[in-house]
Amino acid sequence: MQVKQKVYELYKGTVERVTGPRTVSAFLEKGVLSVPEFILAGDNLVAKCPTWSWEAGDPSKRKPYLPADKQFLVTRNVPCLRRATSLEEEYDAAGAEVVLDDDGEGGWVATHGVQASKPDEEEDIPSMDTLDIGKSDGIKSIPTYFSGGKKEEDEEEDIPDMDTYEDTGDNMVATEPPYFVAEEPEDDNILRTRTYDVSITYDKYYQTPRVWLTGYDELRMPLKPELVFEDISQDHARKTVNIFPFILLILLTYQMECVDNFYHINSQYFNTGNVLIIELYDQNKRTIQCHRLVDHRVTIEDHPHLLAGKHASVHPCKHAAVMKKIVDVLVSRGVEPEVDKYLFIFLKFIASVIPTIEYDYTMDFDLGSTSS
Amino acid sequence: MADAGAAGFPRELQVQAIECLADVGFWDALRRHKLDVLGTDDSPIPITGYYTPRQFRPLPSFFNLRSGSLVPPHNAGDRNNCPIAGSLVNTNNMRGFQNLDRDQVLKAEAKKILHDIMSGRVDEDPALLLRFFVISFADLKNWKVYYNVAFPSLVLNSRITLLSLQPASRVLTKEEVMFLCTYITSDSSASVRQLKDWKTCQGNYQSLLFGFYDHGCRSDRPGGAIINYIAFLSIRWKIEKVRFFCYREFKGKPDLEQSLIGEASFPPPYDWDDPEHVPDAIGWEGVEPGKGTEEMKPKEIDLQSMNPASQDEEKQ
Repeated sequence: MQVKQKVYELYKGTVERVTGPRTVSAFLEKGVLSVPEFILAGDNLVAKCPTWSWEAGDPSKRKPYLPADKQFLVTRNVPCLRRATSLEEEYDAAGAEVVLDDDGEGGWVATHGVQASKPDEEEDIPSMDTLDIGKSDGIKSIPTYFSGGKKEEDEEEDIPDMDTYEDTGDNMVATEPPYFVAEEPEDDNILRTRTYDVSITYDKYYQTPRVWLTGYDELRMPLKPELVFEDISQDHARKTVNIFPFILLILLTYQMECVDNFYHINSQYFNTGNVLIIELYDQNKRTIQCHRLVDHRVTIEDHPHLLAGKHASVHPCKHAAVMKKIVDVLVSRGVEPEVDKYLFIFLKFIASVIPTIEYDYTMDFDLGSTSS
Repeated sequence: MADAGAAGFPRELQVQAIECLADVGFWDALRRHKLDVLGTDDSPIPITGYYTPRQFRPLPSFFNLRSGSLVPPHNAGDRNNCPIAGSLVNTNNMRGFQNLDRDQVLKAEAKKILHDIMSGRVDEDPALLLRFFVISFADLKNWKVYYNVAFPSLVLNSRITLLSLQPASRVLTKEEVMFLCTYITSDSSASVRQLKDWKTCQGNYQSLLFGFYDHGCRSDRPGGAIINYIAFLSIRWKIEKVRFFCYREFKGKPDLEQSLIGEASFPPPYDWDDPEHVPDAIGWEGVEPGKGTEEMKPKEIDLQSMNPASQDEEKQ
């Protein structure tokens, strides 16, 4: 695995050196970002979420295609009050309520709980080294459970039936060690919990943003990257695809302000985190679409803009595919998402990978006006 | 316990100490700096730390040392990165590290703050009130760094009395704070005015709120930055009673519920005009006020992951 990773990194590095950065927009077609679009989206993130800043990084690692003072984005000292496992256990214990969209007509149907069975399915994901960026379908090589081949004509059917998943008995979560929850010691009454510096870099090879995690433990000391895995949704951390029963749509409790002719995007990520459900609301606050998107792998690598240390990173090999999927859903509903909102959508689905790290992204926003 | 002491005024002012988050990159940069530049030189070097207001509940914000902290900041900073000047002494061996007179170096730093207050430098650059100091021993052979950080706070001769403290939301409306905060810069400035414009408001203390970016998260006490702020107001401007405003944020926006407005009084200091006066100071991280520094434990950083040899081992 080590050697494979090294070879892959070498290959990726070489490709990045010999190919120029993307300058033409392919956001709508491929879900990728050009360099100017990354800057645009980053500027928008910094403006809307002031805890984020641009940073220059180490001068020796400066990427010439990015402005010197806008090499990557970072938000620091982000609390992570508990381990991801605890979120999942809590959710299981509560008994997940299944709420499904009723054929796009605005009805919500609650069905059954989650504890009864946990069918898993292992499925091959396109591995990093088989992805071929040169082919147009390379970046779209998404697992069949995204939508199969019929996404164009029938979005509502996109949700796979639970019964189609077989229980492999390979349930990772069940074997997890007990989790830790931040405690307040009595002496100084200060909450002792982990914190994270979350950074977003531009990945030239995949032409997408990429998230990096630098953790600190309860004693404010650097966290070993391996321990970061405790804050990553277990399916992602294990780098295998465990499809959890298809469930987990909980109606949001907060009120959604809907502006005429605008659609809102919303995501929920409970339990395993590999299920991201996008809810789109029309102006009558009816849900018109649900989707789920699966799996990101998490690796430990050198940060592209910092000299020292290995950092955990959500690997970007799926990012474009996921973004493309979201874009398709929006476009099919007559909404053309604006590229400067890219990072908001992006951070929403990243939140499904790191559900307990409470970084800031606005909870609801306008994606763009309807194209009609 | 959080609110146990909240009842009952007046009471002695207590503050929440600030904590330092030093990333691995900083220590690795120090390691390289020692190899390439410092050698066995153990004189103090200037470094830069970064201060922010509290942004996330329920945690305080931290003081950050980063890989770029050994070089001067390349710009004036922003809301998330208020550069603060500090010093670092890197000793050459464990014995030198352990034998450093920690009380003495703390007092020396406090003296610098006092000097900046008296000379008026703080009027122009309030960030000088937040000076910090790092002592370290970089054990290059074993890929380890031992260190301690201090945030020197002047100890006034007389105690500071807290007369009131309440959430800002009970005093200010949201509109007022938005207005106010547009004037709050870097780490500390007066309400609606920069600190240096204070003279134009003189004689009108009661209508002034002395505001500062507060890293703290506790409802019963302000963040530690207020101590040197009060020392400044007392020594430089001879004020004996102020209303202060601990400005806190939630996700980068004003957090009225958790921002605090309070009032404190402090008798005028004495002896401080003497140029030879060395003020008492507290501020070693992890050391309770009033306790000695004898038992102070160094923090330990493992840089083994930077070691090319260990990375080779991993590969095999």
